[in-house]
Amino acid sequence: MSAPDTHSADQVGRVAGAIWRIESAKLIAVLARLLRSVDLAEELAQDAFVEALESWRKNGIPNNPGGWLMTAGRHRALDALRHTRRVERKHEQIEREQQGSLTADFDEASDGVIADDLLRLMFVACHPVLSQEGRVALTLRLLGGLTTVEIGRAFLVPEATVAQRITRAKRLLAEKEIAYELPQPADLRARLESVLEVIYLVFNEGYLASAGDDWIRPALCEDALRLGRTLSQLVPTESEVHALLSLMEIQASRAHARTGPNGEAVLLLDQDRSRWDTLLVRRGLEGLKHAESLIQRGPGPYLLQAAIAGCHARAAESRDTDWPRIAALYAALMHIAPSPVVELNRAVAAGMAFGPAIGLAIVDPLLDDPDLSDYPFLPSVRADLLAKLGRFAEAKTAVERAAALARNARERALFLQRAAEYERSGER
Amino acid sequence: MRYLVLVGHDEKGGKALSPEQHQALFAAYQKYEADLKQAGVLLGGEPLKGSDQGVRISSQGGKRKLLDGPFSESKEIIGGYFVLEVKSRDEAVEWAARCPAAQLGVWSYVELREIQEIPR
Repeated sequence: MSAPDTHSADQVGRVAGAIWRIESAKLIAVLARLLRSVDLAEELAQDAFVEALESWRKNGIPNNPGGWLMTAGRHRALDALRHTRRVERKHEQIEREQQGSLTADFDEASDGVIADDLLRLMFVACHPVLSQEGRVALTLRLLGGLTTVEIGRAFLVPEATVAQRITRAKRLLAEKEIAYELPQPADLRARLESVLEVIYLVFNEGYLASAGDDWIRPALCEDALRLGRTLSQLVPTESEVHALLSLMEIQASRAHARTGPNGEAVLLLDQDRSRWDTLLVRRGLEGLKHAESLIQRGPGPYLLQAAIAGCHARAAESRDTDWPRIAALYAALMHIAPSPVVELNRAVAAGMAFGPAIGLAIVDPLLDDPDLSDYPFLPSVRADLLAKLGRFAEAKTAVERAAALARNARERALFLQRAAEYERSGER
Repeated sequence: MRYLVLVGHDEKGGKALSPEQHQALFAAYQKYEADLKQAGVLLGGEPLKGSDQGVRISSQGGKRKLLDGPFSESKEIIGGYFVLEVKSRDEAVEWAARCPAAQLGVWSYVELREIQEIPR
């Protein structure tokens, strides 16, 4: 134990905050197994944290603060269970028996047991009965260690809304009597998909938030990466888990390169690749290789997306990009997870690989797709292909259409600039 | 924020360990690494071979100067490193404090350094 006077109250608070960030998910996960209630587990974990703060302010920070917190939490859970059982007036004999097994449950859990607890908590927080918003909020709160205030700021909603989503999600888990257990092997894939979806949603929320905004929004990328890394340790044999992590790491590697000096978006092919984060690129490509080695029944959607991201990551210059391979990967993705946006991306890749006429042949049928009727990048891609074919008048009309659909002034300005270029090229 | 956890130790102290102590230390590092991975904060890291296999390079009067290890004049050497990604300095300190080298006594220590992001 450190001497009490060596820690100012503020220092204890900061250290305790760091401990909470490191330990809270494990603590809540272990308590949820013992108590069979996520709600009660979180409450008691917070109580234990308050107890820790008080004790550490008085006595100094212990050598093993994580273990201290876990023990305090277990004691609270044991008290709560004893109390419930007394209220239930169980026969004395039964109570004694149960307490035997109860204390066994409370013995120091091995690392393997804690890992299972964490995984169970992830599955429950991302349970398909919950709304997507509920899953995201619960996951960030229980597994990411974020406060309701932080989640609200990150998702641009009032704190009360987040609190409501969490309460509703917990109530739903209790009402539907969601068992606090790992999914059956038959359900594993589907349930895992829900977990991966939540993590990628958090990542994209952070990724789409432009730099210079509130720092907490881009920080969501880090939260998602962290959850993805944890999951890859807990479910080490699933290809899609490693694939999602690889995809996120490769995308995150471009974070610094995707905005210009005035905060404008810089498209992938125009980025200064020397600004990519080489550590994340390397990790992402290694993760991709590992995910590929784990493929069982054909590549999953995250693997294909990671492989596409990997093609870009491997190209030292944008002109070195392996477009035929990217076009093939998009075709494979269309096969297992079809969407008009994927098809549009396939058109871009095919246009780069095999010529603008081939790309245009893929784009044109999309003009009738209602899902893309307001999507500015459809006419934008079409304009680019038309211009490459020398059809400048049509290209100009298309990019003007894109400008009309633009979602912000900066985007619109870029489209109009292209319209002017096409007009000049057409006159030559 | 990225941090470098530098594992420093006195080479003689390491050599004085019994085989059992060596094994226990190895297990402690395995556990530490597993914990870092499960928490999702580990980006990389490796142990380093002894300084007797290292070399120091500098220049003197415009000429390259090589000094082969072991570097007997320095008491402590770097034995390995971890690269962590965390949200705060406090979190980095807490993780660094859990490194076995920070818990073995005077012959080993951990130095925590924040990695400078180069604005490009």
